[in-house]
Amino acid sequence: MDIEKRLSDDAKRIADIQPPANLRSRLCASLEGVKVLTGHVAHRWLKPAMAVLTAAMLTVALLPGRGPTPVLDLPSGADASPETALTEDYRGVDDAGVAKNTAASQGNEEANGVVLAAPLENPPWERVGAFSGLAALTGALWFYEFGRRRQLALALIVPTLVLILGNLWLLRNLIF
Amino acid sequence: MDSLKRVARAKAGDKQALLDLVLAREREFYGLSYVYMRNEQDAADALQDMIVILYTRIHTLKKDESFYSWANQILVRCCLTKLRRNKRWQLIPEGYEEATEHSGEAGLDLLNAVHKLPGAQRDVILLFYYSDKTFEEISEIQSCPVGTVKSRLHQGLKKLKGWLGDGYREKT
Repeated sequence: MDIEKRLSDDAKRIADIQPPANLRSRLCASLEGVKVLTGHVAHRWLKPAMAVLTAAMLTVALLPGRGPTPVLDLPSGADASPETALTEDYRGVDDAGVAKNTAASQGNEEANGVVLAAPLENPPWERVGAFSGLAALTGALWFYEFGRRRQLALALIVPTLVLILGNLWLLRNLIF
Repeated sequence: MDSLKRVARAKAGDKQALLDLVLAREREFYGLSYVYMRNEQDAADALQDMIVILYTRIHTLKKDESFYSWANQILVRCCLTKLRRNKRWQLIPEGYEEATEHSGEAGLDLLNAVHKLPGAQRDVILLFYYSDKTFEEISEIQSCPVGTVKSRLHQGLKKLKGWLGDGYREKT
């Protein structure tokens, strides 16, 4: 007998099998056990909340404020200013040429009172704290949303990356 | 009530409307579930899983008229998930033909043989022969072109012929 005919016959045999009598009650019981109404109704607030929190995180991270700007160690004279210090330095280069330039590269910046790559004196810890808090809150919502869909890798990796990269950005002058 | 209205009500969270939609094609759903699970208990369990997923995900259904093909798709996925959990996947053993020659339940053996096929070919054969779906419906369920469905059916039948031989049913 041809295989297609056999399959058709077998399908007829299967079609004769009746569903169990209690199928309706079992399906009812399954539906009654579902607490969540529907995704878009129950979690209507989730996406706007995540959008607001993300905007707040970006504001904290990117807006200028008392940010991570390096502090110049200016000369102690009364009329000293960054412009003065830099002008003197450039004049030195003009007058003494290569020799002066070499001397400057050997550490004479401090003698002139100018530190070109000054360390960060006041890291923006408040902004780091605010950013981390917002990132943790957004991450919790993100984890709730994607964890519910069983996309655990996405639920864990994205919030962690945002937290790390954001803090690296805020503390870039301290770290690098 | 019209099925489209029921779908709309189910989308609004009406459990009874969803239950009515499923029960309207109870035998079709159960038959499809049965050919995957091959026992009554698991077939009913898969249907229960399906109705929960239908209820929680029905808001993602874009075309209301596609409700039943979407439900079939979900039922197939529920069955496959359940099969994976039950660890019933087995490679076709050596000397399969000889073993089936002495088996008393020819129909179940045929269904078992279909389940030894690669997943895509098995699904096409189950949907085409056992669930009476058209090529277009299968292509929608499997999200692939109709030509691919036909090709998978042809390859699956070829393998079945190789495994079972033409005189299979007569010998049993």
